[in-house]
Amino acid sequence: MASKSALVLLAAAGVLAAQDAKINPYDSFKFNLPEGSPLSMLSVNYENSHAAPRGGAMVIDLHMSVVLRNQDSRRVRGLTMLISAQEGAPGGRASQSFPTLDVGPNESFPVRIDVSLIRPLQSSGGPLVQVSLDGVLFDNLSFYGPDRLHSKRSLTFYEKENQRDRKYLKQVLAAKGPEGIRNEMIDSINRQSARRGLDVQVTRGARVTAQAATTPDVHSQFAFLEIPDSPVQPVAGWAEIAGNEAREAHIQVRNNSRSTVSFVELGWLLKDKDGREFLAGSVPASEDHLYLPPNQKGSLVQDSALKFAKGAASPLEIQGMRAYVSQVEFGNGDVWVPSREALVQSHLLEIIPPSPEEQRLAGLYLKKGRDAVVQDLAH
Amino acid sequence: MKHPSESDLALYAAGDLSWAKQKLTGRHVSQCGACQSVVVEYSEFRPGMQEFPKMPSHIQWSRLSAEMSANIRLGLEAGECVSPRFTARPRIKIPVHFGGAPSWHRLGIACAVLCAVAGIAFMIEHPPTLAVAPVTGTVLEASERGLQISEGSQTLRLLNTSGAEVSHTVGARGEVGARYLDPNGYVTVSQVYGQ
Repeated sequence: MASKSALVLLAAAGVLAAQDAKINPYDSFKFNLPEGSPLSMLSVNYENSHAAPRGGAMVIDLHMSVVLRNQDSRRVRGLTMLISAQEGAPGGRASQSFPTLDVGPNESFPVRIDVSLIRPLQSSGGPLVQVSLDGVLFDNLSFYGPDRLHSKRSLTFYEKENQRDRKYLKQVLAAKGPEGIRNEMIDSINRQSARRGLDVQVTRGARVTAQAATTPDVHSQFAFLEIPDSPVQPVAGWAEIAGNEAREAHIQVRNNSRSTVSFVELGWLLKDKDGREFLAGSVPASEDHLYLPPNQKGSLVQDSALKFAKGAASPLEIQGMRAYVSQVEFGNGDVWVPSREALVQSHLLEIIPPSPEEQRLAGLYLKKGRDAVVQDLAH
Repeated sequence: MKHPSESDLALYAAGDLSWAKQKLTGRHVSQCGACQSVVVEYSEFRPGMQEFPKMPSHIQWSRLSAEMSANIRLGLEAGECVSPRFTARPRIKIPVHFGGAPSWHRLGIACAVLCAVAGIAFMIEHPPTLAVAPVTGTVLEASERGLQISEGSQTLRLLNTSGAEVSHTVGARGEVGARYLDPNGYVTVSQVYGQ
């Protein structure tokens, strides 16, 4: 009898031990670079990847660290990788972008991707996660890649914002010296700390919560922030609001420029019952079919439902909405972003995240101090 | 105990906080080992700050921070276990016998303890996020741990393992993003797409 209980204990221990097993990452991950790619893979590391059953599902943690080399003669300024799961999320895709790279010819750089998958225990073979190149942006704003995720556009917008803020900080350095840079970095870090983050859920064409379904919708009008040099002007807009959920945003815009506009995105600000304002998200042009000739009006219509909370179990009660034009792309491929002055004047600088370049430099200041930032801005 | 944010600790290490905040943060740091370690890590880059002994240079502060956060949570859980209402009772010992009569109630206790440990581990691994009512279709979620896209019982999650502060972006077209500074010093933008 005693040996039976010992056997039961041993069996239980065995089951527990078997629940956390290492997986073969070379079978589970597939990293694809197209033929003729300006990037090549120097090394790959899958340390700490493992799988464990939980209930009727398998939880798989995949950690990949890759070192890539720039084989092109141009400097790489941005990169987007497309991540797709074989079975993890049907219809869903993910990506990871690196918009503050500055990698010269033959230089290498590390890229890290951490993915967790929950999928049924019984499933077919083949790689669980495939990572492939979606696009590379170079310093002359030329682009390479299949661009399935419109990475060319998003990386170009990032690069424009980066150039804007780097130019501004260089002007500060020239006018006020290293102490001016120190003040700018401290202001930026304080703005980032004070910025109120939101937890968000998004569904397309459906309400997010059962609670919202029982709360009467309020047809809420957008107020618009004027950005002085914006080529596109918002004219009217509204969305359905129910508690902490916003749905079906409609915004009408007019093209005030002399060029055809092919893409517009508006930043969406929400106000809570205490009058505090949060950046909720963006309303981009519906899909990619916007064609807005000069002096014409067009509509941005989105059918997603967005639910907001200020941390766990603290829903944001939406009391008001504002919007501003944050990105415009013209038919010839040129892009527009608000100037630094416009962001300061409209107080948007305090609400929206910094450009990736400002974020990188603020991180550099925190880790290495003022002189490292000054040195970085010097070249 | 509420800890100062990581950026405040970094600014404290450089003496960049306002007078009042510097004093307040200093008082906390003098009493909190975890925050002291973060300050020391930042101070290593600053020759002027040598208040605390140096740590090995190979330590990555962000990973250390994430580990410390996990340890703090574990400590809190452990604190719950040794709170007065538990310690007032006699300590339970679970001897394993390889001879004599079987003790099924002891085996039950052992299983219960194993389940409790597994439960605590699961809670640490998966802290609670938004309370979600049953939803049909694809749902995208953003939280401090990362981004998640789920449909039914299947989930794909992009993890934020850097421990850095994250800012989220949401596109009404059906995508959610997270932006943070990775340990290599690059800004990383993760995104999940509904379609």
